[in-house]
Amino acid sequence: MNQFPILSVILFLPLLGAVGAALLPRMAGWGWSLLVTLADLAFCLALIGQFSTTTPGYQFTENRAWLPGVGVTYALGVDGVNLFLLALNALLTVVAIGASWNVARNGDRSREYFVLLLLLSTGMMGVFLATNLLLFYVFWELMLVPAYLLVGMFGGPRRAYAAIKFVLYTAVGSLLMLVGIIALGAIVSDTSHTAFTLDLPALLAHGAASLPRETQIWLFLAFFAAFAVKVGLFPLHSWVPDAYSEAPAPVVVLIAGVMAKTGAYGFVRFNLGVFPTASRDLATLMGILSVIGILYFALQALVAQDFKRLLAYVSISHMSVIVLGIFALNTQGVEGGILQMVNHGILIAALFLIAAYIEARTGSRRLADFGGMAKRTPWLAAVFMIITLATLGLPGLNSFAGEFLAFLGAFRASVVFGVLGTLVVIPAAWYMLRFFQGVMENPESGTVATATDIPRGRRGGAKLSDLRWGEFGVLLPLLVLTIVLGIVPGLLTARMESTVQHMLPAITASHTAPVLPNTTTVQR
Amino acid sequence: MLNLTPLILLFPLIGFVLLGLFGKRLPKALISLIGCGVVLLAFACAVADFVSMLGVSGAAQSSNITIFNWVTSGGLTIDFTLLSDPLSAVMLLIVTGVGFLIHVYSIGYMADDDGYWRFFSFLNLFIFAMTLLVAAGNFLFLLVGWAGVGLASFLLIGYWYTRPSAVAAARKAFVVNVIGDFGLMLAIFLLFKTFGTLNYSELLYNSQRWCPRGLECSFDQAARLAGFAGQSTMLAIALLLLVAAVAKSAQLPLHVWLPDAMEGPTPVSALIHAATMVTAGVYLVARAHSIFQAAPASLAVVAVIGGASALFAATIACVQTDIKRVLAYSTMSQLAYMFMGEAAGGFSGGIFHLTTHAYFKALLFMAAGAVIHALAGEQDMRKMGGLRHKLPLTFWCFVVGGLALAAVFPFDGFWSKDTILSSVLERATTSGDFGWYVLYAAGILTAALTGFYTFRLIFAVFLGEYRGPEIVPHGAEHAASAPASRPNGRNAARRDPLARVREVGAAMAVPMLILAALSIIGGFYDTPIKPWLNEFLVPSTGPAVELPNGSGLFWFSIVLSLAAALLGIGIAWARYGSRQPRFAPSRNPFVILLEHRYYVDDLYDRAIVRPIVALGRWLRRDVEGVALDGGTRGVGGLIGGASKGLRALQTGYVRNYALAIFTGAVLIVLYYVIRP
Repeated sequence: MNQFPILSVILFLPLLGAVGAALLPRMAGWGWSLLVTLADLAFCLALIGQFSTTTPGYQFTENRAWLPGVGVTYALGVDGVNLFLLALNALLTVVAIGASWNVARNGDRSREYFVLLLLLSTGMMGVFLATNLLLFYVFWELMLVPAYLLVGMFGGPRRAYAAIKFVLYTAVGSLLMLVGIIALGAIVSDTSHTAFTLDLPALLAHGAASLPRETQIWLFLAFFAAFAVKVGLFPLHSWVPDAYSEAPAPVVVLIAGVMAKTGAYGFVRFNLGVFPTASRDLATLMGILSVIGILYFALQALVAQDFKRLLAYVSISHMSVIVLGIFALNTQGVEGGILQMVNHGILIAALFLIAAYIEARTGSRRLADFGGMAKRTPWLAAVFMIITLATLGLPGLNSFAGEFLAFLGAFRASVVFGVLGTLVVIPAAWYMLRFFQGVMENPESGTVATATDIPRGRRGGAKLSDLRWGEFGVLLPLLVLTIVLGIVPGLLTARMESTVQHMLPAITASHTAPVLPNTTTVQR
Repeated sequence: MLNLTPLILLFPLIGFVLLGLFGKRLPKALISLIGCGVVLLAFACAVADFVSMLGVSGAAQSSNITIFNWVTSGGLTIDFTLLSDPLSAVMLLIVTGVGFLIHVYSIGYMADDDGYWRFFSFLNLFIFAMTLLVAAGNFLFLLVGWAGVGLASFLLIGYWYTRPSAVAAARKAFVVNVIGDFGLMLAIFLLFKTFGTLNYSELLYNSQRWCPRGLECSFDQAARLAGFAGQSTMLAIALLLLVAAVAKSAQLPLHVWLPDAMEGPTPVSALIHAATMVTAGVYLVARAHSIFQAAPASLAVVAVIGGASALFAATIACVQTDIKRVLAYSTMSQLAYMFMGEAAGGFSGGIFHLTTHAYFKALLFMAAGAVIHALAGEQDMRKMGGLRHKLPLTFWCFVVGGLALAAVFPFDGFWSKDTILSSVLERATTSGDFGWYVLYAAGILTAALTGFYTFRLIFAVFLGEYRGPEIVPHGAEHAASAPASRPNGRNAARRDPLARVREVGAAMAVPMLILAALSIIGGFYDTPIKPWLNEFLVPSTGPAVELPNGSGLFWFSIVLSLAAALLGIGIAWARYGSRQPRFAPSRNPFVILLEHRYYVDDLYDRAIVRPIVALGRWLRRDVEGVALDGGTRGVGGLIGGASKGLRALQTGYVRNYALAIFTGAVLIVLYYVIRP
């Protein structure tokens, strides 16, 4: 235990940043936050470098007694499931801070803003890192509070409504999960006659994963409530379009880019990891909800008129793909799901930033107001094009790799889900091109044609300028990853392999699969 | 044996990246040099590969190069592998060779365009994606190339992105092609689920893996696949692959994007929508011939689609007046011939027609581009006529291309179309199946129609009197939307309207002449006397059907198809060549049906596009708005109403709620601690 506590450092650096941001002057606070989060990202990259690809269990574990009587320990660990989510969180925090330069400059309540942003980041880091269920819950709530406040304080005109809706949905989900957590600890302690603990490895060692089917299903559903709301799974998604379209772009970068992943992560870590029988038996239900979500949200994106709402639906449609992959319960599906969490975070962050840049230039986000912007903003158009192509799943860019694996996994588990899920590539091409072409192409019209007439400062618009260096700098890492992870997605899956391979047999073991005549070459 | 395939891909990729990033600041000469140079280098490598392949034989002709591991996940291992074999060698020669000529042509054609660098960078991207498509060694990287060419096609159709028609056409092409990608993805999933691999070397060629254990192993790969996976699975895979092929090669029922794709600059139509990309479907069927042969019913489907598309497109081509659209429907019809040949088992015959078609159709598009260029963007043949004297070179190139397209002896189209028709006839006589005779009849009828529409086009454009307005040259079609400066009224009145029309410059003329030469001699590498290409392709496409060369049947087929073509040309002469053609609106219901392209576009719009949008709007209003959002408000209101007495707690501050949640959590935990 004498090793360098790298996970604690990764976890608390943003908190340190929050303290600094609260004390320093505005612009210095911005610089400080950026510096701290960059350091955090550097530690995450170092962690990836040090990570052993052959160890299935937790690595770099830290475990300290905290409230022994309650079974609460300060326990952190990293494995193939959360490794890249930490890096994603660190990266998107850097991007969000970088993109908040205007907030710092304009000053209004900028201290609170940066403190909350960094607290949110710490909370999400903790959610990914905690291996004690109560610690997990503490961070889960710690993540929600700054998120409510950021939406409620810094959002658009309908921010109050959006924030309340967000609270209503997430609070109900979280409370059910808390009941589930405590019930799980109590039941395991009763059946195994051991002390009450909420440490995940200890729970699993005490047979948490082999509870009776009925119990597993109830507990599965309790956790499901919290995670499904976060993911925006149909029909629990109603808060998403409001929150995403009202929140300022850097906040959406973190909420859509990272926080939505905490739900998907929870599905893998807890529903798959602790309730294997229930996961297997409810996989069909999860598949149905995912497939409905994938197609229904795609259809909503197709008819959306406000492009931030369009992106909100794009986001949850793709999140549903992740859930579909996870509940395929095979290696390709789960790895595709995790890989897609990373890719989705990168792309949705880039998309919301681009949407914000477009809105800042024209003062509008109604698709009908646009046309022909590419002529005056060629570089913005080029970057937007690449991100659009990645989002619609163009083979060779990052999203394809994750979606391919997730759909392949789903197809292997159920041909119907696989086919219906994959079908989304057609509306996806349609809605993304509708967005891109509607804004960038065609003759100049609407707000684009009149944009130069908007005086500086009014309606948030300056003159219609091309991508600025600062804006480009924020998008650049996302752009690079979009291309690199499309070419060599194996870099990521190689590090998930042993954890996922280790996790799945518990689910499929009790599974009496019909032996097909053709499966002479059995693959996982 | 030499294997430079990675370089063939690398050069155009470098060109794309260089021009894409820095092209805007480079001088035009350098852009042309980079844009054409990288393709020439790729072509040189393709030639070197091909020549070295001629030196070896049999299995030594095929080799795989693995560059890196793309992904490994459970039992799935996908490498970036390039396969070099006779089929990919031929395809690479065509793609880089014809591609290079079209790049050179574009120097002249696009000379006045503002986005010169963008154009060449997209063309390079296309060459990269297309070489990847034909050189990929597994189905996944086939898909990457497959989607990549679709992307390049999208970018180039919508190249003039301020034109609404081009933007709409680009989107249509992309979405329809994604339907094909969807089919290909499902085929890949099913292949992996069934066989556990996506590599050509295991799936398509001579792999012992699929032999039943302890039983005698069939010599035929198709029989092995069928034996391993069962007929119905193989049929499903083949049909899913066919969805992809049909979308990419613009066959019924997914052909609707190709005519609209003519919105792109003409070199794009020549390169992507005639010579190379649209032939990818033909390539795929030839490449995956083992899969199709493992489920013979799938080849019957190919035959039906081929025969129907051939006639469908050829009939529409007869009434089109936009010269590029005539050629677009002609492309669809010729691709259908290739599928007919493949359906009859002549996979190498399909590839043969692919190569000859690449020469003469690229030539025809280039010549059409020369006409459009000379007439300042005019594409309507009703406003042309009598251009023979003004554009002699273009005229003769058009005639050569037209004779090749109409399959007149001894032009290259004659040899390849004859190979296809005689393999269909051979199939008909050996199987005795009535369906093959019908397919053969469709092929002959299409041959007559081809002769008609091709020479209708040539006669209407080049013979007779000029029918259009005065031409004020200002480059090519891209400037057509700009207001043309009016010439001085008095002086202009008596001037020859074609006075300022000029024949094309060297950059456009040289590629046209080379392709004209190829259209004349390009068929001689696979004649009934010496079917060289056919034999060369055997390692890739399997043993070809025995053609009835030299028999009475063979001569009958040749005479019949030639007579059909000449009949078509004769009717065209009677109606458009021997006198001034008239383009009066027709009241013939069949002609109206053709002018509306059999109403397929309208049908899709009404039966698919609009219902989907209507469904989305209905869901937004009634489900998303009322049921879900309204439900939330209802619950919220209920809570609000029920808790009037607790108003003190409802501060409206979110942090207080959060605090309450947290306190609650702590209380529950405490309960469990204190609990005995």
